[in-house]
Amino acid sequence: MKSPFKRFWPNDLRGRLTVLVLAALVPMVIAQAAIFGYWYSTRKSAELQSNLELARTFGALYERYLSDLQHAELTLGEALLRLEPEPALALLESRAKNYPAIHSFTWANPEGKILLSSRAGAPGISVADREYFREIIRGKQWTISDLLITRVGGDERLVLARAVRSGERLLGVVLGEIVPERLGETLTARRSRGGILALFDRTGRIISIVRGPDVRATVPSSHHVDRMAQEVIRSGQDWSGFLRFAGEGVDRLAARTPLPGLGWAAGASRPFAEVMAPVRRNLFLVLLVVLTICLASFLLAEFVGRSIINSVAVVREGAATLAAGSEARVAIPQIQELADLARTFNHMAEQLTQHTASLERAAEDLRRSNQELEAFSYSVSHDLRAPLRAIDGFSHALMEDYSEQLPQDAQRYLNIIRDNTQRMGQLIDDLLAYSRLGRREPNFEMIDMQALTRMIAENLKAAGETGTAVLQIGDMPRAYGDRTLIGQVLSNLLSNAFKFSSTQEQPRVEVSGREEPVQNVYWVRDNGVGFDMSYQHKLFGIFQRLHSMNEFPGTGVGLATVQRLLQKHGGRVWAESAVGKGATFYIALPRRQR
Amino acid sequence: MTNEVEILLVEDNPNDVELALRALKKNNLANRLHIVKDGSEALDFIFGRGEHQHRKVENGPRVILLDLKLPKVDGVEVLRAIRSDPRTRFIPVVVLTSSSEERDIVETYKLGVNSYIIKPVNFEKFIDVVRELGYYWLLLNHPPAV
Repeated sequence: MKSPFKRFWPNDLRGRLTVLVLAALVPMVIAQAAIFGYWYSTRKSAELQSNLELARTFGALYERYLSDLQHAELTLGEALLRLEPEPALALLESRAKNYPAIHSFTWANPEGKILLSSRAGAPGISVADREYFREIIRGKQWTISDLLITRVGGDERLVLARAVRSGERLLGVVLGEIVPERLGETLTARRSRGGILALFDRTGRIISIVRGPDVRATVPSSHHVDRMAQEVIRSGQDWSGFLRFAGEGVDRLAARTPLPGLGWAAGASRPFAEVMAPVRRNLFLVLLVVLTICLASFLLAEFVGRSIINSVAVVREGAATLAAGSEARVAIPQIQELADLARTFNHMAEQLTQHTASLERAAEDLRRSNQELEAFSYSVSHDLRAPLRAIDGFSHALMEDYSEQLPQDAQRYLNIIRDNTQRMGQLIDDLLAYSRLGRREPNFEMIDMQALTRMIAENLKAAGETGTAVLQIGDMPRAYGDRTLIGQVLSNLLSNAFKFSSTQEQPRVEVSGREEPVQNVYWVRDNGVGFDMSYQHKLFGIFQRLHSMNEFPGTGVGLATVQRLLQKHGGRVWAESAVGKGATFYIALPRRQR
Repeated sequence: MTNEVEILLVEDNPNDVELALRALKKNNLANRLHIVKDGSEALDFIFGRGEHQHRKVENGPRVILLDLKLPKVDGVEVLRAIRSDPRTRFIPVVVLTSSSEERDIVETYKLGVNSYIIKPVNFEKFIDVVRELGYYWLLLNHPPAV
């Protein structure tokens, strides 16, 4: 995954589980939020509607009350027409007492002059200029005034005017003086927490207000004129929405509805917080559930992750123990795939144990056969040479003590016997040296190959092996190996080069080397007799010789030794040659690994 | 002390004994030479035990030529016995053997051998070695007073 998503896709198991859990939880949380949002808005519009219903019901109650009241006024008016002034006043007074909201009933003539009134001091006063009276004159059967100040007493009142007619002719008007504060008391208003019900006159001023138990008496402020009430009276349309009263500072869900019969408006409002309290409680519950699910999911992910990680850790520790060289078996975890892994691991460990055991057996066998070989070579070096010494010694004694009595041929035979004995001795010595080299472990160090080659050449010169050859030493990179063993290799190769070029008129031996990436290659080149490349497979075998003893002496151990020593160094030896064209022997030594 | 043994040769191979004797004779070193055939007899001779009980340890040989591979008690054991007794500790011992094994050489030197000579197959070389040896140990070397 090379996409930018890679940064959200962690490398560790625990991180990936977390991402998976998040991938499952996030849609769930979003879905929950959407469901809750839908629910919330549905609830809000339902509450707005129910608030409007409340305002309507409240308004309807007033309309009904006032309608009943005007009907009572009509009955009263008709009765008044038939009574003398004195009993008529008595009737007015007694009727006024029957209605708690009514302060007084008044009878005015069609000119607007008050004739009778249960309020003292009212008779004689004209109400002809009042708007409600004008409406009656204009033909309305009944009407209700806006809030007005009474001309007697100066009280803030409402007046319910009822025309009493005979046909088209106005006989008089009954006026009911209503105390606005008492209007609310007369009604069994629905009082909810924080709820306010209100009645507005044509100017939008509050006529009557019913407050819920916990609403401060100053909310809304006195003589509040409501803009929304004015608007619904003007348009005749319901309104519902939000408002906020000065001095309270909370959002309210509010509704206004016009009361066409009265020309007024009714209103209802409830604090939004109060209305949405159950929803909020539900929100809290939903949040609690969601959080619990999230927490549980993460805990589960952690638990599952931990169990996987622990199982993996068990296998890892087992592998580490195994890597450290100890025996290790791991417990089989419950998770199936990891159980397979653990079983495979145990199988591997079992195989490893078996292989190790068989390797140890092989190493033990090898050690034993090495010991046997050592014992063998020890006894060879002792016992095989003793008879040779005797043959040589007594041949020598025979020659020395009886040479006059021996014919010429017998003396020559004795010499041949001695030559061969000594050669046999040399073979035994070389063989022992070869087997000893095999047992020695290389002691690695950096070797100055040019200096070593010069030293070896000096030694060979001292031993008289160089003859007339010209030795040329070229560039030679430093080598990493055992100085003594590599010296032996150079000695054998140089000795061969000198030996096989000794028959040339101008024997020449060249030693050089080069660096390669993983190994250094060195070569010894001579212009000697060379050899047939088809015999090269025999070149490095022990006691293998490509020349007869008469041509060149030797036991056939030198190149076998070279090969063995290079194998010990992880290197190799090879040769290129042609008969009569000289030979080049190459050795490759691995470079030091850093 | 004219009949004091000067050279003790410890060698089990009769051929080697004869050749050694011949080499010594050629170098005029065969006077007062005593030959024993195994390690046990060598110890009896050196420490005056068994059939050599009339010998005094103090009259030990001036030099011991010791083969390593011997019947009964091997050369290394004989050397160890010689070196661990204060009376014989300073007798020069020359190991004369076929073994060119490094561990034999190292072990005998650790036990304080004075010289280690590998018997060459070539008899002429053997004569040379014995000559040098004789001159060195019998004529030039003066052991410390016991």
